[in-house]
Amino acid sequence: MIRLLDEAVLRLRLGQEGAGFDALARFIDALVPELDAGRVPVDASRLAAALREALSAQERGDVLWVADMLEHEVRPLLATATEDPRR
Amino acid sequence: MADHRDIFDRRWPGLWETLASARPPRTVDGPTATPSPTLVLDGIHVTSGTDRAAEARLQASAVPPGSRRAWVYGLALGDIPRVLLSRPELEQLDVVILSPAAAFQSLTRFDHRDWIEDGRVEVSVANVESRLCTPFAVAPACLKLAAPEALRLRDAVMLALAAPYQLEHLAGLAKVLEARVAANRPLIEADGDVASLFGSRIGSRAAVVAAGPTLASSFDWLSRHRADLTVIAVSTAVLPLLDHDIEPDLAVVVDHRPGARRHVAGLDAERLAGTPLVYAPTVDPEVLRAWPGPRLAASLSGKGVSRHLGGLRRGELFCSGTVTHVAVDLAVRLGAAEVVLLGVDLCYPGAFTHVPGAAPRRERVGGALGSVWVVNGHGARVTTETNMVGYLRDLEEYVARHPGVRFVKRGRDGAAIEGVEWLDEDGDDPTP
Repeated sequence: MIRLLDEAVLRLRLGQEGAGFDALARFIDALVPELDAGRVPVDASRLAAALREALSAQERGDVLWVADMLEHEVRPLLATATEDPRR
Repeated sequence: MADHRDIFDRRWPGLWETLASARPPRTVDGPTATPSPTLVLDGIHVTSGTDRAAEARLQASAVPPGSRRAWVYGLALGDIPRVLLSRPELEQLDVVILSPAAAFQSLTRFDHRDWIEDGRVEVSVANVESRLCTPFAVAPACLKLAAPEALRLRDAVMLALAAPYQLEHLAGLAKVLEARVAANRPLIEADGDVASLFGSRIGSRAAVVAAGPTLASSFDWLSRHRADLTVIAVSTAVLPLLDHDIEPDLAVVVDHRPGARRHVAGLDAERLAGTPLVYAPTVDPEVLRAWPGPRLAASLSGKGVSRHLGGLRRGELFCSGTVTHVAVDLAVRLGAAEVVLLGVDLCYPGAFTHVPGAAPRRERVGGALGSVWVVNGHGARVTTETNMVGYLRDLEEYVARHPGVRFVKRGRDGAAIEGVEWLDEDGDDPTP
């Protein structure tokens, strides 16, 4: 799941939007069942706020801000929750 | 700012005035109060606001080590040029400005002296003649902010960035498509060959009918001129045409996805019994069996097209990702002297995807102008998708390769196509 997030960030910063937003969609598809099952203990309101900001940035085409939200807001929340250190 | 102007005036006379005279963005914020101060123009961050240096290193890595010359598309805040100029082997760096307005804001709010004085740097502004050069790195935000004069170069950069992902997607489909051709083999062997139509209508006037929203404004015109036209409909346009009592002379389908079944669901078998369907060998066999008329198989050739005929040879038609290309090439191969494009929008006029009555019609999510746009026949920007930009540019190249054929288009709310004249809404003669 973190791998998909990192893939999305990488592709978006390189301007590869198709690949980037595809990875983002797959990340969200992987995240939702994990959240529903309680397997990712995160601050849900912070995560929701960060994802809302990312999706709002996506709507206006602000891809680098999407990447910033994912890398520097969403990822730290999930990394802490899953104890998945950055490689 | 004065230092920047002096450097520009000395190194690139006239360029500063070009940047300064550009219409400014509607909103400007910067330097921002973020960990990495950046610039936000019309709601678009031109760089990361958290770690510009790491982002620039990543973006610069698109230029292979050891490159002696490179291009950077988009000035942004100068971070990518800084990284590339740290390479001692680099002999020349061409920085191409895609948005003069954005560049001016950047040069008046951030310090660029450290790199614009480097003798290896050449700065220029993209124009309509600009072409993509490699190897290159790109500041993605500048693609969003590109000026109209930079549109072609913007599209070339965007399509180059998207190409690896598209090829990967196509490669992933290869086995599926091979299996599809194998399943269709009995049909293909029994059906006719599209080559039998080639040269059958020399000097004719053909209408290629796609299902874009502007088709709605052409039904009356099409009815009035029906007798003088060879009407070639893409599969999604068949139902809307029948709804307006227009039977096509030919229909074309290339979509391999199950959704194509909706294009032929509920068709009036009696009205289409004599209408041949030209199809690609990878089309869903259910779609082929649902067609009430005769069928003609075709091979497809073009960029990124998988050719999986398993040894079967059929007449070849050009395709670079959309059935519209195939329909246009069919018209030309028939021998048409003039091709009229109807409903060939290649964008989302009115924020809809298709004309009313077309099976896949839906309202595009996010009706406001999106981040990918083209210019329509009124000179206004219309939202589109990256893949449709590719189809548009490939169609323009196709038109340029066929100077002996006259191409005209109706529906100014759709994308303008270079080399294709507009057909007046009320008259019959092309207007510039």
